[in-house]
Amino acid sequence: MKGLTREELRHLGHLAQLELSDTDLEHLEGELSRIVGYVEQLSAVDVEGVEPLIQPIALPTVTRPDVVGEEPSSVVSTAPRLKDGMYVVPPVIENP
Amino acid sequence: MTDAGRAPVAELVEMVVRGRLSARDVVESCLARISENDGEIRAFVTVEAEKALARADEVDRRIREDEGSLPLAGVPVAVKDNILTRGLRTTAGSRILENLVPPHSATVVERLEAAGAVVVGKTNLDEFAMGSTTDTSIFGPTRNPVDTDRTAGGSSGGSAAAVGAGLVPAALGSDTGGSIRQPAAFTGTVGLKPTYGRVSRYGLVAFGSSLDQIGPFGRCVDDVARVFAVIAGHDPRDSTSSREPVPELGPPSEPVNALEGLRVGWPTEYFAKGLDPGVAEVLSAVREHMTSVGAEIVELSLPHTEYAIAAYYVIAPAEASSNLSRYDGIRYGRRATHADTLDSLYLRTRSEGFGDEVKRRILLGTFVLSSGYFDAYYLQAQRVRRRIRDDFERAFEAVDVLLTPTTPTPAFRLDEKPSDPLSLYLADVYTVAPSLAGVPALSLPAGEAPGGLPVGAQLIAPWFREDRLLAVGAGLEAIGVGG
Repeated sequence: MKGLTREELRHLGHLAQLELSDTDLEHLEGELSRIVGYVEQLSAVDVEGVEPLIQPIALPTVTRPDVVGEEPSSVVSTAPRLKDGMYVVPPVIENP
Repeated sequence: MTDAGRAPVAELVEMVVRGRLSARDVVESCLARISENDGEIRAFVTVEAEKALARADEVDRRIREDEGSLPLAGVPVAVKDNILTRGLRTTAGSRILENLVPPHSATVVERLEAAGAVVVGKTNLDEFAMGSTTDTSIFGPTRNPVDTDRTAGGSSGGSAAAVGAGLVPAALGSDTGGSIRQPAAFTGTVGLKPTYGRVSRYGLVAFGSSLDQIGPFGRCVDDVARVFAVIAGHDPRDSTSSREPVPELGPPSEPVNALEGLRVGWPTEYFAKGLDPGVAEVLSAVREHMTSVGAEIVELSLPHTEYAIAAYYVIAPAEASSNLSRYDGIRYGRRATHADTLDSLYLRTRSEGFGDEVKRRILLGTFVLSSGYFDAYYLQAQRVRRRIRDDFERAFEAVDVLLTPTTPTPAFRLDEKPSDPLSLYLADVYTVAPSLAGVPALSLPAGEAPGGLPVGAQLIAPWFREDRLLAVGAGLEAIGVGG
């Protein structure tokens, strides 16, 4: 059974942008290891020649003309901070 | 005042359309009932009476001015709080969205309103629909109207409880691995998970995009059928919504006829160890009942059933980890304060905004998608998923519907909820396989376990055959199953 170490959990937290406290790690170590251990039984299924199923019903690829649909002002209106109709973010590039 | 919460939808609509009752009367009595009874049950997380009454007045105006047919005229509906409602707060039960007021409504909400229904409020759910008790909601758990010490189930527990308690005649939920069917079984209500792609997901807060479906709750099959008929069908705004035509869903004149000669599959894997004897007994009684009116029970095997939970708990978290990456503190809802770099804004917003179960599933999904594990977990789960789907395809060559329990046990006490997440996941055993296969499934009240707790029977039909499910469900009601 594959257990997850705290180091691996910290790495996953980093990938998923989640900060994990020591208490979190303590719980997660056991809980996630048990879940991962459980799902490992999938390896027992013979899937020789079986294509992965990505979605359950066959759907055509849908395209549409590249035109503005919704009002941009409505699309951004759920943002916690806006300025002149644009998202506000902390500085991404340091001043030279 | 008419007891709007108790009348069947068809009767209610008839009275409103004929002007015997105004939509305002109906909605007023519904709101009164909510404020009187929901304190203990806590099915609703948001009710805005003024807005609902204004909508009701609009329906009354449309009736007066004869603006075309309104198949749900004046029907008060509760909507799960992961379905967007324009101008009405939509939280998904999460701190990260606690102040989100959507600028537009989900397609299903638009269709309900166009049909004359009135959204009276938003119902409780597990955070981002991840859970089976509503216990992971920031609002705390909803209580089962049958026994308030017990869970109403989840994740659509609020919608199920609102219907079960008679607060509203119908409600919408969403189902990813059982989130409509399990709470329907626990509260003694009818719940339908449509075929994947049958109902538009536009405006549904995404959890597992290859699994999520919106569906109705009602107190009888006909109520569910009427709501389903309004919300089903292709939507250009959801590219995964199917163009398959929706069949006419008129109420059968002789519902019991649907059962005569019906071939009913009884998958032995669904009656194996772990099934509560009280639930097993109710299902055996349903089986006998069906046989007595001319249905043929066919025992069969869905051999990959035992792998369904494992496949589900790889695929659903993988999709969730991807879907929930959009909550970055910039585009929606909550934004952490005192974050002076972009990375710290992401990190703080997400760490403060998500609860434990959501974090657990994001981490699990990140793990199965990460390099080195992708093939062994995610790809393998998708291959097993095809095996599970093929099991159903083969079964439906021999039978018309499948009959199973919805859940292994009746509703458990809130204080007896297992503390280990895996134990809770294992209780999804009968609902996840149909979700992975994408087939429609209906849970309907089938009887009571000792102690008077409702037991749900699950009917499963081939892809896009909700009409068959609803006809068989109505037939079972007609012969007194669950009544």
